[in-house]
Amino acid sequence: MKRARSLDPQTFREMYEEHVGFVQFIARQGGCRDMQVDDVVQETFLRLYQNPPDAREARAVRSWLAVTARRVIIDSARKQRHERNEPNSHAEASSAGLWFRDEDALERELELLAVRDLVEEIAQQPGGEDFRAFYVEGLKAREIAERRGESVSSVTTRISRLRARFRESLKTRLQQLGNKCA
Amino acid sequence: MSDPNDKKLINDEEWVDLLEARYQAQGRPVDDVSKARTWKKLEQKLVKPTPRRLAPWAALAAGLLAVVGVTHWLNQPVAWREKGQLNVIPVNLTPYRLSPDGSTTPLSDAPVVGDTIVFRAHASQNGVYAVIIREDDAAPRVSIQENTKITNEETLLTKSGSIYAIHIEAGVETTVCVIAMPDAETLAKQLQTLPPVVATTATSGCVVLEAASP
Repeated sequence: MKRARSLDPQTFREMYEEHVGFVQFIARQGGCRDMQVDDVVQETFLRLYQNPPDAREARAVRSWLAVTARRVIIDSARKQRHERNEPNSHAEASSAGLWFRDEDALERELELLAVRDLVEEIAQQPGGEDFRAFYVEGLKAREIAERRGESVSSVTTRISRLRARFRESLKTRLQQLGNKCA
Repeated sequence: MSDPNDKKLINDEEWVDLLEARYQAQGRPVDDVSKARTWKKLEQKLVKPTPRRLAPWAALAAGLLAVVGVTHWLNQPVAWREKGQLNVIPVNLTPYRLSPDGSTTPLSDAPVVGDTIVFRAHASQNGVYAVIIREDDAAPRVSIQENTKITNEETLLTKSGSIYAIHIEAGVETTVCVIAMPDAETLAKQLQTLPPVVATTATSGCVVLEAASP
C-alpha cells in the first residue's frame, strides 16, 4: 500500500523542534552566514515536509536531514553562481566565502568538515601531499602524475595506501564515538 | 585504488556520525532567533498567503478560471449516481484558518466573521478535482475547474498557484465541496452534463462554514 508522502503538521513541527539545531550547525559548519543559515534550514525542512524519508526514527531523520542540508548548500551555491553568470572557478572563494565556491570544491569541503584533522595527519606522512592534492584540492591522479613526472599508477598506488591508513584512523575514531555513546 | 578518480573518503553515515559527535560536543547549540524566523518562513511557504491581507476573496474572484454557470439545482444525488458517478473519488476535506502572517491552524471551532479559510484535501486515489461552492440557498457554482491534480497525499486546494480561500462573511452559510475524478476528461464531462450537486453523497467531500453567532 502506498503511503502518504507529506508529513502531518504536528509530526513536522516535532521534527523541526528536535533537529533544527543540528541543521543550523551543519549550515554554519558549511560556511553559511546568518540569512544563508535560515535559507538552508528552510529549504532542508521544506524537502523533509514534501518528501520525508520512509524511516521515521530520530537517527534516520537526522541523517536524512544532514545529507539533505549538504545537498541544499551545494545546490544553493550552484544556483547563485548561475544567477551571477560566473564560471565554476576557485577564484571567488576567498572573497565571498564558502557559500560561493564551486560545487565540486564545496562538496569536498563539506565532506571533509568532519575529518579535516585526520586528513591533515595523513597529509603529513611521506607522499601525503599527493593525498591532499587528490582529496582536498580535487586534482585528478593524472594531473598529479603529470605534475610529478611519474606514472599514474605510481600516484594512485601511493594515494590508495594513504587512503587505507586514513580509513583505519577513521574506524578507530568512529569506534571511540560508539564507545562514548554506549 | 579501485577508481582512481573516486574522491569520497567517507560515506554519508560516517559523515553524519562525526558531525553529530561534534555537535554534541559543543552542547547541541540552537540559535533560537534563527529557529523562530525560519519556522515563520516555513509556515508561509507551506501555505502561501494570498497576495494581500484580506484580499483573498477578491483574489479568488479575480482568479477564477472557467466559472461554470449553473442553471439548475438538482438535489438528487441518487439520480446522479445512477448516471455513472461512481468514479467519484472520496476526498477528506479539512478546513484551516489562515492568519494574516500566513500561518494556518486547523479549524477546530466555528469560524468567525473575517476569518479566511483554506482547505487541505486528502484523496483516496490520484485524480483531478473541481471545487463547488454554494452560498446559502443560491445556486452552486464551480469555482475551480481546471486540470488541478489531487493526490492521495495531502493537497492544498489551489488554482493557478493561488490558494483557494473563503472569506467568512456575516450571515452567510457557505458549503464548499470537492468533486474529484480519475482524469480531467471525465471530470469535465460530468460537470458539463450534470449540474454540480452539493451533497455529501454525490461529491467527494464537503465542508459547511458559517460564522459563529456573535
